[in-house]
Amino acid sequence: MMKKLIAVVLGLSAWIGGTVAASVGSTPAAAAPLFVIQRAHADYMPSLDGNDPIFILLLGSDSRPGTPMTKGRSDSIHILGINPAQQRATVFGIPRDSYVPLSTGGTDKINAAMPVGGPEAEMKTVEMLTGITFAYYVVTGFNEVTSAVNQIGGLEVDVPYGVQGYDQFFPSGLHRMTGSQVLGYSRTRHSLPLGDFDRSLNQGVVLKSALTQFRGEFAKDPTRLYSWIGAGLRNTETNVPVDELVRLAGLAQSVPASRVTNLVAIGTSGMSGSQSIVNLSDANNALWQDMAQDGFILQKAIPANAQPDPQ
Amino acid sequence: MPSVWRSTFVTSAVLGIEISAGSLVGALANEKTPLRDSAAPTPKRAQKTTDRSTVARRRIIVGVVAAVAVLGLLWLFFGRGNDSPLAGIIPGLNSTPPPPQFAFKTVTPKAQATTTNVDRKRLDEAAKHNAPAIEKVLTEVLQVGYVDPSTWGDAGKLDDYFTDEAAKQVEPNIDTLSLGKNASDTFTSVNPLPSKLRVTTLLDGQINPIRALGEITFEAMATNTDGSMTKITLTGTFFLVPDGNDWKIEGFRLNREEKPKAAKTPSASGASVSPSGAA
Repeated sequence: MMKKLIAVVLGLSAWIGGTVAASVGSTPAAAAPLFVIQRAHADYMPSLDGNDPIFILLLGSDSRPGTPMTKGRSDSIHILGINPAQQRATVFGIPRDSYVPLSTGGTDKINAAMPVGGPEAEMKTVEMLTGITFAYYVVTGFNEVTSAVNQIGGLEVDVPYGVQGYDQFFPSGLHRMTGSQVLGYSRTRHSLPLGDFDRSLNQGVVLKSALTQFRGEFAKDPTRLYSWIGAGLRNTETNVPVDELVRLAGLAQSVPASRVTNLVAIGTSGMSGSQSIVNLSDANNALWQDMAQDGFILQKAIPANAQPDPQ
Repeated sequence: MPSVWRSTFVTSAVLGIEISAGSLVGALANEKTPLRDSAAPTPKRAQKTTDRSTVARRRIIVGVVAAVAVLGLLWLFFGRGNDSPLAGIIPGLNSTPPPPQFAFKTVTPKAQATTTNVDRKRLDEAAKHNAPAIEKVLTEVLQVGYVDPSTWGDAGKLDDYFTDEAAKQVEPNIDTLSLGKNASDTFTSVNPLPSKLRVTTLLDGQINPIRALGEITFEAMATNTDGSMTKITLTGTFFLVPDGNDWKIEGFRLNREEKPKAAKTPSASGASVSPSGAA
């Protein structure tokens, strides 16, 4: 009897042992029912970072067809300062008639440096004036602005106040503009109360609108990045490397237009001989020092006598 | 040694179960069946008959025990596929087939110029020329991240496909760049369905590639651990940069959706059952 019992126990032991051993380390047989749609998301783009500001000189050439953009006068001059860590930027316009010492020699209107020494000379001239050191320049022209805007499918510009352009009136509000409309809005000055100062601010409005549109398009469809880079590079002369453009695009995702200050240098109109000029105010020095330090100027730091951001 | 005893001994040894010498040995000692005696029944003969019955019963019991033990061992070692302790020792024992090899069904190349006045035909040719290299990288990334269960959730296996900077983002995003660290808790295998890739190459003035992006629509059917199925759809964009003769991923934006696949159940209409709790 005892022997039978031992045999039965052995048999059961073998069975249980085999079952237990077999189940060790195996996947649980019953998973929870998967009747819920699961979603996952991953997002990463290289971006400029750090507290060191980066400065880019944006130049609009008045060259006509057949003349290289870099040999025209820089009728539109903007300092773009960016602080990656602070996720802030500033667009600082300088009137083209500003009467300043040129890097190419002598004192003249600021836009006279580029025809002599190209964008590098213009960059040096602005550096001498402001104390800001530029990493890069970007030059575009009339036809190029038109083409670039058309190639990205138009630009939605938030016009802050009604502006009479060369060919049409732009009422305040959002406008989906073609390339030629953007050019017309950016160039017009005779109908503006403060002429070239207001025109420079309106060009800042266009730049901020472009930032807003790019951010929106990239958020919806990241492949738009190459459309913008392609359109940009096809219609500019620049020394910004593609690596940097990609990083700037990455940074743009964290810098909404509301964190971009748009201002223009303080000055007064005057004459030098027979030509009308702009005499820049000494008050600009404090603004440029501020900007050179961290790449941006807060709206509240702008003196009351400066032309206010129309937006 | 009788065969029954030998198999019991072997089984016991393998199981590590000590069998008392006084039990089975005693039961099976001198197991020769008493010879039939044609002589008339005597008390001694009656005793022999009883002994013979006892031995026969013992043989049956021991045989059953041994059979059960042997069956348990066979199941333990050979009936568990990858979980078998012998799977890593005996080649070919692994019953799980190798994972399928993923390949995009359609690849559409496209070019984006960065200079004007470049011949469109040359751009298209350059786009076609560059697309296979990008396709190769993204095919391998999806194979490692999604199709091969042995590398699910393994950031180390994906790092090499990324730039140094982007590689730091692999681990934090591993649950989307791959099926996930804990994917094997839910899935056992993934079978790719026809998937699409659109490659856009950014070309410089000399028609050299300076950047590329791959838009993917990766679809697959996963088998869940409970035997049900889940449709996996991964869509999004990889940004790539040339790295010598190779390409590295410098950025990505990806979205994955896992949708339970309704099980086919016999019904009057033959329609499939919809997931009731789908959100």
